[in-house]
This record gives sequence, C-alpha cells and structure tokens, in this order.
Amino acid sequence: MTHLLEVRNLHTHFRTPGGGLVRAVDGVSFSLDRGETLGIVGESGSGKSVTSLSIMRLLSKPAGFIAGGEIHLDGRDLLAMSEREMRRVRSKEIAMIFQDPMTSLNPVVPVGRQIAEPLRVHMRMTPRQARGQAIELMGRVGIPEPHQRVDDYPHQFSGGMRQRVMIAIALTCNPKLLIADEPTTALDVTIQAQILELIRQLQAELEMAVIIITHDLGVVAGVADRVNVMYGGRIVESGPTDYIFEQPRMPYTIGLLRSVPRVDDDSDNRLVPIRGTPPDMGKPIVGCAFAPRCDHAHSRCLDAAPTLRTVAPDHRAACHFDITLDTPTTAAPSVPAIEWGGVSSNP
Amino acid sequence: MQPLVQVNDLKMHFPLRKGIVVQRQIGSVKAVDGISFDIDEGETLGLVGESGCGKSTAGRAILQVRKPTAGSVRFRGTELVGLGKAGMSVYRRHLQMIFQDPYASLNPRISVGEAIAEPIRVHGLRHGADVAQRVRELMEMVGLSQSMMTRYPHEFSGGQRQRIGIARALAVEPEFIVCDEPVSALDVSIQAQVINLLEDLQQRLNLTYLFIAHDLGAVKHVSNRIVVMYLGKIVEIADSVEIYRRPLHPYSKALVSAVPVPSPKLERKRSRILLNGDLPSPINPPSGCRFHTRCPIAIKRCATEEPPLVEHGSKHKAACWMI
Ligand SMILES: Nc1ncnc2c1ncn2[C@@H]1O[C@H](COP(=O)(O)OP(=O)(O)OP(=O)(O)O)[C@@H](O)[C@H]1O
Ligand SMILES: Nc1ncnc2c1ncn2[C@@H]1O[C@H](COP(=O)(O)OP(=O)(O)OP(=O)(O)O)[C@@H](O)[C@H]1O
Ligand SMILES: [Mg+2]
Ligand SMILES: [Mg+2]
Repeated sequence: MTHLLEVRNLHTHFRTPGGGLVRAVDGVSFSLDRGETLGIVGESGSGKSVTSLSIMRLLSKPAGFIAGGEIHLDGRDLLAMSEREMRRVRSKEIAMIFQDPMTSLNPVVPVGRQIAEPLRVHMRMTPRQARGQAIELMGRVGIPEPHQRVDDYPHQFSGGMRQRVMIAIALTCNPKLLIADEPTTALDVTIQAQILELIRQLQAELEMAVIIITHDLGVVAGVADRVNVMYGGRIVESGPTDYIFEQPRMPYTIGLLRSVPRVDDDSDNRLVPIRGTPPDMGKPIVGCAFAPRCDHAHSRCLDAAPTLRTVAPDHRAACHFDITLDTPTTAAPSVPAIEWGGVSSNP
Repeated sequence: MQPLVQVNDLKMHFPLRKGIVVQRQIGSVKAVDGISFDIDEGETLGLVGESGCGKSTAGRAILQVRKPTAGSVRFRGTELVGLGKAGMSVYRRHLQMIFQDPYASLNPRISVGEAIAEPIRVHGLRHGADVAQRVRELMEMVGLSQSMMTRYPHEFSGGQRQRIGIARALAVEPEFIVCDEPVSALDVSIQAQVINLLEDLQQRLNLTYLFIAHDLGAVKHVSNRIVVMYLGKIVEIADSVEIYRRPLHPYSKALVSAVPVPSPKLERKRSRILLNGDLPSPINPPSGCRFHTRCPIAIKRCATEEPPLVEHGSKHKAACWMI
C-alpha cells in the first residue's frame, strides 16, 4: 500500500531582496502512514515550517518557491495539481494549525461562524446545520459551554481556548492529515498537556495522521511515533521515536539530548551545551552543516555532506561516522562507516 | 545569617480604568497579592507559574521599578519600599535585571561596546581609558570576543545578544539579578550555553538570582529553591529537587506532571493530572483558595476560606487545606 504522504527530495528556496537565495529546505525526503504521528524537531530556521508550508503549497510568493522534488498525498502528486485542486486538498484532506491562533482567526468574526464557514462551503450544510455542528465541534475540542460561547469573538478566548477553536476548524473537514506547527509553544505547560491530550484523542478517534512540529524534545517523546530531526534545511536523523531518544546516531541529536535540562534529573551536573551557533541559511552550506559545531568533525565532514544513510533497521542518520551515545566526545572518528546491512568496517 | 533579600506581604495592584475623558477606576488587577519569601546570598530562587500569574510583576516590584501597592522589600536589611528615586539610586546598581528579549533593550544605533560602557559611566564606576578596559573585561567574562566591540546589535545572534544583556547588567557590579525568562527566546542548542554562563558568573561573582522561567527543567536545574505562584499568590515553596519529587499543592502537582520529559519510555509510563479550564482573571480572583475553581480535590471550605502558606517539613511550605 502506498504511504499517505510521501515527500521526495524536496527543495524549497527563497529569493532575498539582496539577490541572494535561501535554501530553506534542501533535499528532504520522508513518508508518513495513515494514523501515524510524525514529530519534526530542530532549531529555529532549520526548515520545519517551510517543509509543512511546502506540503500545503502555502509559501509566501513570489519569494518562496519549490525548486525541486515531489510531494504525494494518497498517491497523487500535490505539486502537479492546479491551484483549484490544491484548494480542495486544503479544505478536505490536510488541515494545519499554527503556534499563534490569533494570526489565523479573524478578530471581527465570532468563532462559531469561523468554524461554521468551512462546513457551509465545503460540506454544503445549511447555516442552521453548520451552526449546530460548530457548537458540537466546540464541545468536542473541550470548550466549556459551547452554546454560550459560539457567538464570542476570538479576543474573548484565552490562548489555549483559541488553539482549541483552531483545532475545531481543522476538524471540520475530517482531514486525513493534521499538520500542527508548534501548536503549544505559546501555551503554559498545564494547557499544553490539555491540547496534546486532545490531539492524541482525536487522532485515535478519527484515524488522522499528524505531523507535529516542535523544538521541545519532551513533546515529541510523548506524542510521536516517528521523528525527523532537521538541521540546516535537511533531515539529519529519522526513525522511530524510541530509537531517536535511546540510540541517537547523529551528533546533533546526541548534543541536543545532552544539553536539555530535564525535570527528572536530580543531579547538579553542569549542562553540556552544543558550542557555536546554527548555520546562516543565507549562505551555501558545504559539507555537513553541523560540522563547525561537532565534537567529532573530521576534514571529510567539511568537504562532503553526509547522506542520510540507514544505520539500523528503519533508522537513518546523516553522519560520515558511526557515532553513538557511548562515543567519547574527545575521540577522533576512526574508520568511515558504511551503509547498514553492508559489511561494516566497524562491527 | 541575614537573607540578602526579604520580601514580605508584597502587593502590586494595577488600577483598572474606564472612560476616555474622565477616567474612573472600576477595579484593579491584583497582579501580585501578598507574597513573602527570603533569598539568601549566593542562592538562586526559581519562580514558576502560569502566564499572567504575576512573576514578572513580582520581579519588577522587588527591584522597585514601580512603587509596590503594599508590603516590604528589604535588601541587606534596608527597606526599599518608599525610598524614592534619590534614596533608591544608591541601591539601584546592586539590583539588576536580565530580560527575555535583550534586543528590545538595546539601541540599534549604539555599538555594543558603547552599550556596555554606558551604565559604567552613568554610575561613575570607571573613568577615561579604564572604561574601555572594563568593557573588554566584561565582554571576555560573558564569552564575547573583544573584536565585536564596535559592532551593532543587529549583527549578533540571539544568544550573543543575551550575552550583551548580561554584560550590561554585570557592568554595574550588582549583587542581585532578576533573570526574567533569560533563555526563552533562544534556540534550544544555545540555551544551555547561557544557563552555564549564568551559573559560572554566579560562582565567580557571588551573585544572587531570582530566576523566572516557564521551562521548568531549566528552573529546576539552576535553582536551589523554587516558588510556585498561582494568580498573584504563592502556593508552594520548596527545595528544587523536593518540589518535583514531592509536590504538596495540587497545582504544583499538576504543573510537575505536565512537564514533558525527553524520554518516550518515561512518557508512556507517566500519568498526567489534567487541569480543567484556564487561569481565572486576576481582576476578580476566585474567593477562598484561588485555585479551587480548577482544583481536582477542592472541598467546600476552599471556596470560602483562604489557606495560609504553612510549613510542611523542613523548608517546605504550601498553602492548601487538603494537605
Ligand atoms: N518568507 C521568507 N523569506 C525568506 N526566507 C524565509 C522565509 N520564510 C522562511 N525563510 C527562511 O527559511 C529558513 C527556514 O525557515 P523555517 O520557518 O522553516 O524555520 P523553522 O525550522 O520553522 O524555525 P522556527 O523554529 O523558528 O519556526 C530560515 O532560514 C528562514 O529565514
Ligand atoms: N502595567 C500593568 N498594568 C495593568 N496590568 C498589568 C500590568 N502589568 C501586568 N499586568 C497584569 O498583571 C498580571 C500579571 O502579569 P505578569 O506580567 O507579572 O505575569 P507573568 O507571570 O510574568 O506572565 P508571563 O509568564 O506571561 O510573563 C497579568 O494579568 C497582567 O495582565
Ligand atoms: Mg517554524
Ligand atoms: Mg513575565
């Protein structure tokens, strides 16, 4: 069976006013199955949002454009579709929610009408039916007393409640895929826990696939089946969530996991930061984007970008070497590794 | 030993006005409504709680950025409330603040070297060529290369700007610093660098911190003790390990249980205490215990009588009728 979503070798670029080119997404490939949750993590500017905007074909024009690759939904190539067909996909198959619901909600329209609107237009409901359904959806996403709140305006809702409204709007079309871009970043942890629980419940009920974009490793650990780690516009590690957290194989992932202070850690140990700063995406990246910050970097890393190779079954990492959590940070890399399944030089 | 900072029943209420020509006060926002704690010299006290619960207001009220509505703040035993501008000027330099967004507090047309030199000159701490020497020293201290002195704020990354903000705060040789969300705006991979820097500087300069952040992992890591606030009040104070291991207040329990940990195995095993609803408005806070409207274990009494913050074991205080 085909995957629900398949992204192949996606390149998304932005032209800058100065005549430069930002390779925001630089050769990204991944797939997602029905009902699955994919977490995308990575730091600011690594290309997480641009990846999802590319899938939705909602890049800011004319600066942003897809320079190459394919995106298939249910076997259909989204990049080959007309704008009209794409609008249909956006209203019936893929829904998206953002970090700041205020930017996507219309401040002068009552929330009930904003939820009812797509139901009238795309589901051809009567205004009465749509209003009834909107109230029902509001209840379903956990907005208390939806009958009373249906005519309230967005500013009368708290941040967490607005995010629930966004989720209700997303659900109007019964999407196959929900893309949530930092849905809880602006919220308090207690409210974040509510929203993540809601997404989890709805997903189980509706058998939706979910892409959740976040910089919080804890959020990913709790909700995702699989994880893509992005750095410098590329996927640098990809695999089932347990592998990524228990046996990470890319020095950036390892560095991130080591640098995050955890509430379940009672020791007084000094944090182990990643040195340096993330790459400037406005400049072409030669070699491995992480090399300047990597404890294991080798001259080879500066010359050639490592490919995303299979390091264990269903687990891929972009590193020339076989680095694990146990590799001492001072150790120089020895023999370059080869594809898993082949004859490893470092068994 | 006398605590460095003593906060007693501190209140900060903001008037709520209506009308354009003639303004009437129609109520007040009880942003901070009677909080008390001590901070020892060299200690880091963490301050956590939901957005809008009054953390930043508390930090600013302690520093006398605005005169508190009521209560007392003592610094080395001296009462700061009511000192006035002139009286405060002696202490101003000992009490500093580091913000979430250092960019907002930096003038885009002033070079970084100048920005750091300014507070040194204003307070007359160095003169002539010694100013530049001190700026170089401070830049070195926060991990910025001296060659960056002549550059402008926009040329720096978020993490570097935060270092500039820290250098500016340190320029006046403070003893106490309120760090208000100092790493929230930074990239995940940069946060640890800045946290380590703050810890190193604390050791080196014997600084005392009030550390405000919504990242509970970071707060736990840097703090000796942690204060949990809810709607302008303190609900619990305890040692930082204790509060995560044995939270007593139902709000602290929910807060701790809600923090995700980067381990899928642990996440699968954890059970969360999900709170209902949102933080109520500080304009009309609930009667009795302010948390009773969302509390999973509230009883009748909680709606009418406010629980006091009382001792439950050594250095552990909580305000709840059900403990
Ligand atoms: N409209 C645009 N014009 C020019 N460059 C852009 C535009 N949108 C994004 N970029 C660039 O593309 C790169 C990737 O951006 P993206 O928004 O995908 O990052 P992200 O991983 O989502 O980061 P964050 O965590 O900050 O949301 C960045 O370097 C960004 O500056
Ligand atoms: N100058 C002011 N005038 C009126 N109300 C104010 C003022 N400053 C803060 N408030 C209100 O006081 C309450 C506490 O705000 P404060 O900024 O201290 O919260 P916080 O805990 O720091 O939140 P956050 O985590 O979002 O920074 C809020 O309801 C806020 O709207
Ligand atoms: Mg983004
Ligand atoms: Mg604040």
